[in-house]
Amino acid sequence: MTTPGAVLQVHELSFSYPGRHVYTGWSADFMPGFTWVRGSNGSGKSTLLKLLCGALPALTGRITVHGVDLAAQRLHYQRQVFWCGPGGIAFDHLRPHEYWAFLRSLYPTFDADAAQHTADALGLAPHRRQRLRELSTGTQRKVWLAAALHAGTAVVLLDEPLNALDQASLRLVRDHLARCAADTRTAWIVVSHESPGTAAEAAARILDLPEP
Amino acid sequence: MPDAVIDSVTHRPPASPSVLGYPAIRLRWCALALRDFLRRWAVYVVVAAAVAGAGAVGWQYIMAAVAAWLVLPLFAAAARGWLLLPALLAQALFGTACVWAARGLLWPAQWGEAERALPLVPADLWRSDATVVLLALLPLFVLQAVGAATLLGHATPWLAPVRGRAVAALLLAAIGSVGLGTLLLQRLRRGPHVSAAAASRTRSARSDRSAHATASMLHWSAAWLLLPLWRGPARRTGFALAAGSVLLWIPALAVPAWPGGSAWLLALAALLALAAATRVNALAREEYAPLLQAALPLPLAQPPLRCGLAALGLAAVVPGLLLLAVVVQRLHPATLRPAVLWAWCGVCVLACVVEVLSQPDDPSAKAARWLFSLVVCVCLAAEVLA
Repeated sequence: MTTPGAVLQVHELSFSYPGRHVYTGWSADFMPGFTWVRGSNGSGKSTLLKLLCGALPALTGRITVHGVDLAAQRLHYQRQVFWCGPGGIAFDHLRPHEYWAFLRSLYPTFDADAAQHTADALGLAPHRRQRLRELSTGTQRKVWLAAALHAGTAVVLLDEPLNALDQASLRLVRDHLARCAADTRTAWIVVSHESPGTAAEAAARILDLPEP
Repeated sequence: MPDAVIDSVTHRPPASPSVLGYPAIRLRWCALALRDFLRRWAVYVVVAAAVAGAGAVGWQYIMAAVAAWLVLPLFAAAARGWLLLPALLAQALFGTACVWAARGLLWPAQWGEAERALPLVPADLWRSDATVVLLALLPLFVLQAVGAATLLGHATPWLAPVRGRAVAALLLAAIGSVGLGTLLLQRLRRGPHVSAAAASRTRSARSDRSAHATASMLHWSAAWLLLPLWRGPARRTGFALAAGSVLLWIPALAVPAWPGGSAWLLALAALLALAAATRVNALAREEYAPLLQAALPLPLAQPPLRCGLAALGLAAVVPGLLLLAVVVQRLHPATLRPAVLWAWCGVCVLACVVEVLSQPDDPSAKAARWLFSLVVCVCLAAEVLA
């Protein structure tokens, strides 16, 4: 049974780490707007995002974005899904603008100029010429978050986007998440232990994952 | 995309970012990794070149001989016909082993998850893997070409009738090395494929049993020092320890086959011991650093932990050295100078202890220590037999 208007659909998903089942026949439909995924430690929140973006292979099940199947049309699927992980950026030998240029080669919808503006607003301007590995984890996350906010993909997956941010950046990201709730095109799926802000929380769909 | 987020920010036209493809960022990363690697190891290259240059009439002869050895087995096999296929495979595997050894410079493991999450075209991944493997193997191929030219240029009688076949075999082996090296990188890149639920359940049951067996008491030496060697995070140290131990058994096993070369094998063992102790110690320091930090708030004394770490470096070499000394003593009862043999053994162990206990310092100090230790060990090795 699928929900009309769903952007991302997960059907009968199963996944386990050695010795631990995380998902067994799990299904969900994600609508445009803001979905806040909650759950205790070990409930599989980050794993879910990694499964949805294809970083982890599902044992069984079907994941589609607008009908495009991750297993069958991987590249086409991944061009519609942007994942922002919980830590630093892996390609840390690049400078911020080089990282965005790299993303631009992968995501036709990515707006590098807007990402640059958001990054500046997040206080990244003094670090523009530095390599990512020379930046703190928090600053690296700003580069990644700025990219995620302007990826332009049908699905954006944010894993703990509020981690390691200063107060000014927290405010800015929370404002953005509040606007995401009204987005009619993109499904913003956010895993966060912290509240995404009063406005976003009020407008968000909340998905509580069961205890591990 | 929702409305513009940052209304208050002054619009500054950014430097227009061009598009940067995966192969480009991959090559850039490899170049940086290579630069860092050369910075760390350049001094050893210089020392090796100096040692090689001091040992003969001209360094170019040594280099040509070394290069010729790289292709001699393949060329010899080409002359015998039936041995060609295994020799070709071995030659290709040698190149693959070089790729394996350099894998840290060719593809960073921390990219794995990020790459799998991105819409990267598989052809781009294959192409960039093949490119970096080819670039990494280029120095080896140049050396092999020099070796081939050396052998072919000397009109070796057994080689003359099969020159074409030998060169073709060398080319095929080079292509094979690149192909296998590329496959190796692709294999490294593969994600954590969680196998069938049955396998998962088996592992789960096994770990449950193991947990039950060790739950009663686990000494710090096991929990902190030994288990990380195969369970992580010190797997590389564990592998280096095992590899070092195995390497040091080779001279001991070779002495009965080549009794006349005992002095050479003792010198080789000294070099291997020093290299193994240094490598294991360096890896242990790196990989156990987080565990040392984690042990700070625990009721554990730090000195035993540090001694345990130092012992890892010595554990890789002491058994092999002792075995070699015993084998040499048994093989040469008439001509042996026992005092010199045990002095050699003691100096080797002492050199390893010094290396293991020294604080990480600049490479030139380490190279000086190495050279001094090696000179003493080689001198003693030369005097072991009358």
